[in-house]
Amino acid sequence: MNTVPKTPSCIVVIGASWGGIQALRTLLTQLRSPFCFAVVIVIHQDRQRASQLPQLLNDTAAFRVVEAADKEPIVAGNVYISTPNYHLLVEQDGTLSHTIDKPVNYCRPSVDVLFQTAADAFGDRVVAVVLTGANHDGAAGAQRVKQRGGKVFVQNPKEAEAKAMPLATIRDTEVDFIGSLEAIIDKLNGIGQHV
Amino acid sequence: MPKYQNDEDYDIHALLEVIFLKWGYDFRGYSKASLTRRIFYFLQEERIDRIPDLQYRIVRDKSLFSRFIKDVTVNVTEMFRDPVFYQSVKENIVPQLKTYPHIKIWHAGCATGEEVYSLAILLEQEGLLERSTIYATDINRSVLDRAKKGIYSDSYLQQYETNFENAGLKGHLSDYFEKGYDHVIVDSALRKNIVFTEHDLVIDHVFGEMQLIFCRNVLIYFTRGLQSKVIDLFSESLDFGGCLCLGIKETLDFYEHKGKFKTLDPNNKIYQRTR
Repeated sequence: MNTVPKTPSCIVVIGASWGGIQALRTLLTQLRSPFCFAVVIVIHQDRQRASQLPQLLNDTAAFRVVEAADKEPIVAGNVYISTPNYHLLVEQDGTLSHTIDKPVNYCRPSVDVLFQTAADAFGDRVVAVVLTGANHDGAAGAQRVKQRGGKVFVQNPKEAEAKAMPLATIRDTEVDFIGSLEAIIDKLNGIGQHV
Repeated sequence: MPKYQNDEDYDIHALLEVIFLKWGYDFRGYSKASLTRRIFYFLQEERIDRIPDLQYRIVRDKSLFSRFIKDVTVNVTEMFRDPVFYQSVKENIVPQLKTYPHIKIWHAGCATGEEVYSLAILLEQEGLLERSTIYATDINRSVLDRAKKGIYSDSYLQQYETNFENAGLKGHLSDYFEKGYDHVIVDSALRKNIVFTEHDLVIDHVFGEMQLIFCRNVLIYFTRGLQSKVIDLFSESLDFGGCLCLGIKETLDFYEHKGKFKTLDPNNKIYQRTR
């Protein structure tokens, strides 16, 4: 490797469920690279199916999309994706970790677990994005992100394929932004310019 | 840079130090994010407001400490978790096990025992259970008691039956159970060669020379430093040619002495000790 891996100045954590694959494809295709932040994604997937998702998204994205590995340092410019049947957590030392702890909101991986641990580790340097989904996972995590000074962006429930997840977050938390997927992508591309 | 990120981080570290000093259980090498989550969950369950309060009480109240061990150590498991892994065990490990007159197996971190019985069923189908001894260990005595009884709620049975089929085994999982009202009991024939005993991977030592070690989804709860220490322990406990099976998110890639092992199945994390 020619350059020392860069610790991200902030992390974007994304939660997606029902309809999430299409939304993530759009988002990752249009997100500009290279950036100064890292992206960590929890998506609810069928646990029996081997995860082809990182490969699928890698083909469309402008940067490296990988399935998160346990104890892997989070590096700016990378996109990390959850594994079915494992929670994905952010450690205070800037690494990722997995657990098989009980499902949260009937989900493993759970968006709440990712958001809460990211908030604890990165404080106000977290942007949480809640995309389409048919349950309320992510709502409690988004609250923690706000408490620790981070920002929360939510996909407009009207345009999300399943609106329950965005709605639950908006109901429980004073979020920073509600908009179309394209508008969220613009906001995220904007982060790179401010830091 | 300060050693602790914030007061909460400091409180957790202090709690773990005190527990080690008083009770000899060492959680200091556990991954912090998930441990912290489970400790806060424990506070809620016990209606204790703050970690310093827990710290004060836990050195004075043995039953509180027992509940702490029970709740804070992880005990989630299932039958034939990752069915493809069990297929790989059949292909990559069973032929070699058949060459031994007696087989010693260590199942480290067995929790409530679902995966121990899964392995026992596989061995039974291969005609190996009769000459095997499985040492099933865990840090948590209360889950070991449940493992020993072999009684499980039938609410996950459908899932386990699907796993069983996908693992490519013969017959039905229900062939190995006696059905109760809302639970099932594992066939006593499966249980007779299993020894359940307490063992803490962090502080306890080698207790025998094994032909196979199962330790699945335990290392993910440890930091890299502690993972290395535990893999040293496994390495010392394995016969030459013996196999080590980890969870699918675990790896020996980072391990300093990984040259001691050959990778038999990179996807299912099956390793063989070669020197």
